[in-house]
Amino acid sequence: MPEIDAWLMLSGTIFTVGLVGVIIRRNMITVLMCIELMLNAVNINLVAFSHRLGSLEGQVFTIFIITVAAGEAAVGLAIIIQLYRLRSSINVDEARELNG
Amino acid sequence: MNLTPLLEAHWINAILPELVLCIGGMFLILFDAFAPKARSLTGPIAVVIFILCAWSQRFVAVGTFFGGTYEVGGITRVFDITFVLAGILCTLLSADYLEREGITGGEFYALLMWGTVGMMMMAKGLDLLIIILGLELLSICIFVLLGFQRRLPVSNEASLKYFLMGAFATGFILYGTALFYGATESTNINVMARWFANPDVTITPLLTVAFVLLMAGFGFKLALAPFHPWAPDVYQGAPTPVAGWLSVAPKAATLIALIRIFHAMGPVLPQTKWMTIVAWLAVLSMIIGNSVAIAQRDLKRMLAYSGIAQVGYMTIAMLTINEDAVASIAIYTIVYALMNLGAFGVISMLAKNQNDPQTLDDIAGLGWRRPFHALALAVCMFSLSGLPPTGGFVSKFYIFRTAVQSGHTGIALIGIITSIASVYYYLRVVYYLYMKESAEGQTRIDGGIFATGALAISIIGIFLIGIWPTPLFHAASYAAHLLLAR
Amino acid sequence: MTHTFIPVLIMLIVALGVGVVILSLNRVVGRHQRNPSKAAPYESGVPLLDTNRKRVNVRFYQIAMLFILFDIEAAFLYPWAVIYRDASHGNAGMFLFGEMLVFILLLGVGYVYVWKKKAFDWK
Repeated sequence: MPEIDAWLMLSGTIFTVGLVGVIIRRNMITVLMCIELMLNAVNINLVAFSHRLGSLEGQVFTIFIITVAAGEAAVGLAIIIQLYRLRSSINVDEARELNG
Repeated sequence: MNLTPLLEAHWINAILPELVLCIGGMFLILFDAFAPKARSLTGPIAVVIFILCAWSQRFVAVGTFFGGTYEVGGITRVFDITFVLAGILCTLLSADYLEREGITGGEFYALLMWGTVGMMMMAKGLDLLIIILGLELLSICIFVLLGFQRRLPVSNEASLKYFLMGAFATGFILYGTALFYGATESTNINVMARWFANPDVTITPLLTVAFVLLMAGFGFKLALAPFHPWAPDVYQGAPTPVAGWLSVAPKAATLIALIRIFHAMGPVLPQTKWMTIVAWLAVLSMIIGNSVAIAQRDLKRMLAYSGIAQVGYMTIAMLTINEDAVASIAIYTIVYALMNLGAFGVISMLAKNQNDPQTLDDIAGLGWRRPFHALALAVCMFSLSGLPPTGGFVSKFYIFRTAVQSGHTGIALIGIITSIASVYYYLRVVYYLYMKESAEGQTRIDGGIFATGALAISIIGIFLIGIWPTPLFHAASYAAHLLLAR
Repeated sequence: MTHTFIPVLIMLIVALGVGVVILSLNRVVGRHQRNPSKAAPYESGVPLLDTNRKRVNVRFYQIAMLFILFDIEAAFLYPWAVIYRDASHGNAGMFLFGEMLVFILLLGVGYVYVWKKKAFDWK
């Protein structure tokens, strides 16, 4: 079993990958996947802490995050479908009517 | 294994308002699905359900429930008033708005109700898990509500922007929470408070990172200054009543959740720089919000920037958590709900293509064409700018007095100066209402009985709190006292 | 803490070196011929049916969306199923059963709604 530091580094790396992805990627589906990546990094963190502390709270938290992430992904997909129907494209930059 | 302690006696009384709204929302979507012809009835039914929810507050049991994860107390009831009030006003405004736009649907009100349940969970959650579940329930409802005019590109775009920002912010909040869990060994706020109260607790960099992540995430949700750019775009594109609701209720819920978290951290705050970060967020919000609002001609964008500034004022009170601070935030949110929803309400009645911006020119000369609606907008603007004898004056005065008493004189001064500057753009609206000639092809105001009722509630509420605030102040102070006595 | 990662760093460098050496050997020593079947992606030895870069109909996403929602709720069923037998004696059993019944009922409301709204129809 690796030390907690290793898990923290892993989750930090995954979180950063997701973060950078959300910022630089323009395809909505990829952005959605990157957001999921960020949430899963949190899950790794929680489970690692839960294991070290010997408390179940972290694992319960993880189950809820998984479901919440699914709900968010579903709504995200719905928004993307609507974007596609309106503009025939799922490029984030296509949505630029509101600017100020 | 023993499960019974998770369910205390009277648990059903503790969550009665939430239950009413949950079941009401489910009834509405099924009603909509099975009786599509009677869709126009969903608005009145929603109003009845919200009133039922307000009435059910009478039976609410006070205490800690569900294994110490859910706390119902005086302050949560005060905030419940804000949430239900915002819900009722938004429902009343939407009933006419949706009819005009031809998008009536039970889902709209159901989502509004479930969002309100999410906010109640955030206010009452004594465990970070409950707070985050409430936040997510709220966010998911908002995503859908913003895109409710799905044929309109701007509405879809608002939904998309809020979704990207919201999901991003959720990631930050969750990561911060996970780090706090690792450091304090629990997600329960009372346990965390005991951990922070331990005199030999050391503030590791991990904790600071966790705090910064948490504040960044909540800053996004509150639209505090460096995290605010989504707000104007989203408000402009969203269905107008939803924009009004979004600018009020979720902010109140986030603030009460933050109050709980800050209160738990109380003992360690003096030895950290954490509150300096929060102070900078407040200062930036007030300066950026008020100065950019001056340049806006689009009414919804102007109100968005004004909202950024208003959250800045509320954040000043958060710098030191004491009874007055909590009470002043509670009162400010109620008044803010009344005046901001009132202002958005009048804008929502401007009968024009919702894909186009609603600008100052649309309301030019309105004072002579529709006196009541113009009066409502003018009262809301006076209240937002903090002029007596409106509720806005009382609540703003209370916030700044609390800040000065807690020793944040410099920041309070910045608040007062920027708020004086803000009078310019609020009163410019009144100037357009009464002093300007209406332009060619004037925009019609289209308001039914429901929306007019909502405006009447706003005006009466603003003046009631402005002229006779004492009972509300006593109630809020007592509730805050109970919250902080633990 | 950092020094514990030095072996990993060495391994990474060695792996990189081996990879570069083998690939460049291939290029230097091997013969180069290109033909269509060599350029095609490998799919278990079966000839390709279709390209993988084509557009998926947007309706699939709608189904995917509904699938995610109803599928992920099983995450709550697992912990419940694991503890149900051990925890259920007397009132606790009925309570646990009732809880899950409420949960399924909530899902059922969503299902009926989606059904009535004809979201399952492939129109």
